[in-house]
Order: sequence, then structure tokens, then C-alpha cells
Amino acid sequence: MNLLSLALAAILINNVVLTKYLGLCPFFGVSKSSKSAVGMGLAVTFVIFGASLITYFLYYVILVPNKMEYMRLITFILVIASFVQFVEMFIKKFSASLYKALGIYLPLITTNCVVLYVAQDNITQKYDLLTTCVNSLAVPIGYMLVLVLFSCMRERLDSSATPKSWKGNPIALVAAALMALAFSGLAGIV
Amino acid sequence: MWQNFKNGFIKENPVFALFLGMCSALAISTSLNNAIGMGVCVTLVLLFSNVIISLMRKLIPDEIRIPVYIVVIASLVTIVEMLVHAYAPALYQSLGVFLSLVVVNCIILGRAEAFASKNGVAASAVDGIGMGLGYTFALILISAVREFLATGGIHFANPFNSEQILFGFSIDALKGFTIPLMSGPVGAFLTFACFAALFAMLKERAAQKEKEAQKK
Amino acid sequence: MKAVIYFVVLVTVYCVFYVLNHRTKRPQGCEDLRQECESCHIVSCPANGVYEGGKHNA
Repeated sequence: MNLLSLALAAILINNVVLTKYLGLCPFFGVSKSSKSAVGMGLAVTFVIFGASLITYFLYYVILVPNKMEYMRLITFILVIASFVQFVEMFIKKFSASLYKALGIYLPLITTNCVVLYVAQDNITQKYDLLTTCVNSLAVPIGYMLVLVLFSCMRERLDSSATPKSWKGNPIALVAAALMALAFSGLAGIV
Repeated sequence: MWQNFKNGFIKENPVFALFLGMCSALAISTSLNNAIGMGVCVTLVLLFSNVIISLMRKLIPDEIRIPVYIVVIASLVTIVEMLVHAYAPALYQSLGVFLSLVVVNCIILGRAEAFASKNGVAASAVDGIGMGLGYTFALILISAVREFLATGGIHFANPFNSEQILFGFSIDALKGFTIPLMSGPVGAFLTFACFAALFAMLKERAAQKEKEAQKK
Repeated sequence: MKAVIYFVVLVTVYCVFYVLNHRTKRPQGCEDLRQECESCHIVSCPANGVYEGGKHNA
């Protein structure tokens, strides 16, 4: 499949939050300010790219030749968790400024659905190495895009007058519904 | 103990009050079948993980708590996934990748950390069942609304034999007025928003009643 | 048998990384950074800073 159309599809058309309902916990949690949204987005991109490559290699180099495909889920979640810990430790030791920008979001990414989804998707769709790289970069970029857009909307929402029981998450969900409606207009382009 | 069980349904409903496990709640609730199937899987995993972690709570060194929880939960989900794949293949097809995503479902890790690591086996088991059933209850609510509005009827088929419809009805008069949009993301977010607001309102009322009762 | 060894290796690697990370101190100037995550007032979220001696030291 053409790599560019794959990337476009992953970012805009089959957006992982608005069409696949993934990564919603941080979507509603970390979107209070656009600065934190950017930080979260960058951290997620880095983790997904690294973890996807590692899990891809582990799957095809160790699991498949030894006929251990049933260990896939356990392997993936352990690799993702270890990678996050490793990255956090690395950043803590070598770059204080980077830690300030995105270090605090790293532990939250372990339980982020998107990471595990991308890792699994690369395997179930039988992508080769280059397509895996492109997919693992495009999906989190789409995630970051929607996260930043949503945080800007949310900053406005929080300062307007909403009925009491709708304050906070419910009205944010309605905003997300409208966003999904807007993005669904792109369906079928690729 | 009964209080623990009741908690999971309304006051601390994991989906509507705590907003945990939203990903699967929205994706799965397109039809009642999927909702009940997923709810049962999550309840099973939650129950067993709570019990196992509660049994091991004195043995786990404090520093590596979280890794141990993740390993236990991942193993349980792998087992459940294989069982579903074998005995209810239609359910496996429709749940898709979301069955694997139960591993990172915040509810399970959250209850393990907050409850099972500090309480006895029986209490943890009851809490697990309560939270799991609360989750299933929330899923059933959302999917009932969505399926009804999107197709004008509700069906529930036997998961082990997908030909057999156990319970279903559809109102033909409404067939011309269905809203297919409801089975998409828009419907999901909107339905969830309405229920979340409803639960917030119920919680608010309950808190007010308690305050007034305390004043007296 | 191979699967068990593989599993144990993975779990050990994870535990090692986790403990190493846990013991690495935050860089200076970052000690009092808090997550701005709104869902963190929920006790069950693993990133909640409320836990003492837990995953994150407040």
C-alpha cells in the first residue's frame, strides 16, 4: 500500500481517537492546557515508535521461529512497560529540560491503549519493516493533532457557563462527538 | 461487604463516575451482544486478578508491586482471550483487538492497586465482582440505547452458538426512523455524555441528601 | 520449557528497569513537578501522585 496514503489515513481519516475510540483516558485527562497536550503528544510519539520497533523485532525474530505466538500479548505489554521505564530513567539522567517537558507524562503512557494497539496492529496487518515505521509514526502524530485541537477547545469550554451536572467530562464528550462528526466527513477518501 | 458490591454500581461506577475503561466502553457498545460478552470477560479478569493479588499481597516486595500486577493481569487476559477464541469465536471476531486491550484497562490495574493490595481475599473478590458488574451494567445501558436508536431493535444471541437468538425484539414501525450515526463514534460520545451527566446529577443529589441528613 | 524461560527473562528485565528507574532521582529543578492530568484525582489511576513510596513520589 502506498506509504503516503497509509500515513494520511492513519493521521486524519482513521484517526485513532475519533474513529477507533482509543487513548481516551489521557485525551480527557491531559487536555486541560495545550502545553501539556503537546508534551503528552511528543512523549506518546516517541514511546510508540520505539516500542513498536522493538516488539516487531521480538515477534519475528524470537516468537515466530520458536512457535510461541501465544506469548504475544504478554511480550508486548512487558516490552512496552520496560521501554517506558527505560526511557524515563534515560531522560532523568541525561536531560533535565527534556524531563521537564515530557517526563511526567511517561508513566501514564504504559496503560495507554494506543501503544498496545499500534504494536498489535503492525502484526495483525502483516506490515513489513518500513510500513511499520511509517504506521508507528503516523498514528501518534494523528493522536497528537487531535489532542492539541481538543485542548484548545477545552480551554474555551472551561471558561464558559455549562449546567452543573455537565461540567467537566460530559460536556467535553459532547465536544468530542462534534469533532468526530467533523472528521467523519473525511471518511472514504483513501 | 454488601456496601462494597453496591459501590461498583452507582456511586463509584467505573465507567460513568470514575471515567475509567472508557476506550473499550465506547468501542464495544455497538450491540448488546458485544457489551455483555465484553462485560463478562472484564468481570472474570477483574475477579481473578483481585483474588490472586490479594492472596499474594504479603509476598510481593513493595518496590516491584506494579510490575507484578501487570504480569498477573497480562497472563489472565491471555488465558481469557484463548478461551473466548476457542468457545465463542463469533464474539472473538466482533471484540477484535479490544479483548487484548483489557490488559491496559485502567479499572483492573486501578482496583488491584487501590483495593486488592490492602484487603483480604473475600472482600477483594466481592469488590472485583461489584466493579465488573458495574462496568457491564454501564456497557449494557450504552449499547441498549445505541443499538435501539441505530437499528430499531435489540438482539442478544447465545455467545456459544451465534445462530440462537436468546432475547430480541425490534419495532418495525421505527425502521424508517433509525439513526445509523448512533453506531458510529458520534453516537458513542453523545450517549456517553448524556449518561455521564445523568450520573453526575444523581451523585450530586445523593451527596446533598447526605449533607441534609447529617445536619439533622 | 522455552516459553517459561523466555517469560522469566522478560519479567526480570522489566523488574530491573522498573527498580532502576524508581531509584533514579529526578533531576534538580524537577522535584516538585506534578502531573497536570485531571483524571489523577481518581485514586485508581496509576499516575496519581498521592501514593507515598508508590510509583511516583509527590
